[in-house]
Amino acid sequence: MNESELIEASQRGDVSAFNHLVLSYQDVVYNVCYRMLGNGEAAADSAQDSFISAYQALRGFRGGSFKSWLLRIATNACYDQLRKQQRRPVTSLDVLEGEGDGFCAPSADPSPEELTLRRELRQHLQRGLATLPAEQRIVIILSDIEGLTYEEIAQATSAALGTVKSRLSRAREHMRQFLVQNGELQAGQERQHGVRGGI
Amino acid sequence: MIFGRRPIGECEGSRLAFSAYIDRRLTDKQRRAIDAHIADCAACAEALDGLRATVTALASLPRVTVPRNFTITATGLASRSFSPWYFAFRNAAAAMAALLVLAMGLGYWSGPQAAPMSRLAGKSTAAPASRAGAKQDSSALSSQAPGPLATTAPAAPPIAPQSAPLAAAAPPQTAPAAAQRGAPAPAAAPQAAAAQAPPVPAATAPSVRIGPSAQQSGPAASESAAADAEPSAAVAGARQAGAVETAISRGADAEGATREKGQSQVAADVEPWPLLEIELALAAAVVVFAALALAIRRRSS
Repeated sequence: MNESELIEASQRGDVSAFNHLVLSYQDVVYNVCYRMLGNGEAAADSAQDSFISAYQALRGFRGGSFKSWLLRIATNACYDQLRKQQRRPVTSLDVLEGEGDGFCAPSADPSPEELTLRRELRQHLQRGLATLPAEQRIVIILSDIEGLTYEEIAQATSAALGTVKSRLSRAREHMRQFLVQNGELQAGQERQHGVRGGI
Repeated sequence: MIFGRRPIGECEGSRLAFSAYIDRRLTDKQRRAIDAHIADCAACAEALDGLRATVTALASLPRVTVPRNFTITATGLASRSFSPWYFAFRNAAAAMAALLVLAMGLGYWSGPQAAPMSRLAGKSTAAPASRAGAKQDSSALSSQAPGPLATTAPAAPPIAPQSAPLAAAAPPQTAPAAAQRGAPAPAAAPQAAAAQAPPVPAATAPSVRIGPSAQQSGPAASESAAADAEPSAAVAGARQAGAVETAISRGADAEGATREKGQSQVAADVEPWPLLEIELALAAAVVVFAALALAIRRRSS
């Protein structure tokens, strides 16, 4: 069955068909949640909530990009989680603690020094993301990490196209300044190579 | 360009467009303008490079492996969704809130005298007294018999101060009727005395000093007391004369006459629905139901 058939079957209450969709999109949903929240446990909760909410709301899906629709639900789940965290703050970010845990292994075989540099950059990027307002953070995650188009982002965030552009512009500039302040963009050619060659 | 430096606005304008420039979301004309600017402005060229590097770094962030599958099951759906009690209490709270708004609106549109909240202060003094009078009247009327004066004596003090404005507000034909019947009994003396008082126009009744209770209750309450106690005076007179039925009809006549005088507010103050109590009960119900729903939600999440 293709995606639209799976969606139709899910709308008729076929949980098995919906689970096929879950397996297709759980990676993107979890990664978006992870980057938004910076915490694996909270991201897993939000991802699970997203899929449950999606299943319950699937009858209201009227076509279009299922991915954007799903990410919209995931975005709202992340906002809910962030509100929860504001009430009961979590202690730390996974990215800052257990580096490498849960991450895909790098393709090359880097030296220990390079691994350290990559880890530092990753930490700074996640820290920088955490300093962004939530509405800018989701836009830069969807654009620069998940590679969505402006139109898909607009749909996923329920924002106008112009709003998406301006939020993305501000978010990128904020991140650039954050990396400059932390020496990541002025550490010389080696660091720049490290950035461009993958983390 | 002034002294080798570019106007700040030009750089700012260009930098705002850098993001779209990187994503190739600019028109050819806009793109050429940016190209021309960064060819001439080293700071902006550096900023653009930095922005590109930032975008590249973000794109290079590693994927996080999913810790588990997020497939759903029927039991999982049931356990993750909120208890039905949550929805029940939430909906109940919403319904109570809607009724509360309705009740408050009813009180508001009934006029300032009828608005329960505006009578909150006077309620504790005048309203219970007037109700006591009303109760007494109704019990006396329902018994259809002139009870001994000793039984009505304990209730006389709260009625007494209010019977004065009653008599004052009563139409002239009521007061003489009560006066003709006389008031030999001590317990009914205040009422009779009030009844014998010269009739005063209803508008001036609130200004008459009749006692602390009525003073606190204000004009609305005194009018209300008058309306409530009006049959009381009539009943007292009738009781003494042994003609309760006549008193009822006189009380009814008196009310009718009062209405004819254009004092429709008096009718409103008779208050068949205790709006204040209803509002307070609804507010309490809203708080209780909302608290229960919140507690269930927190417990399940």
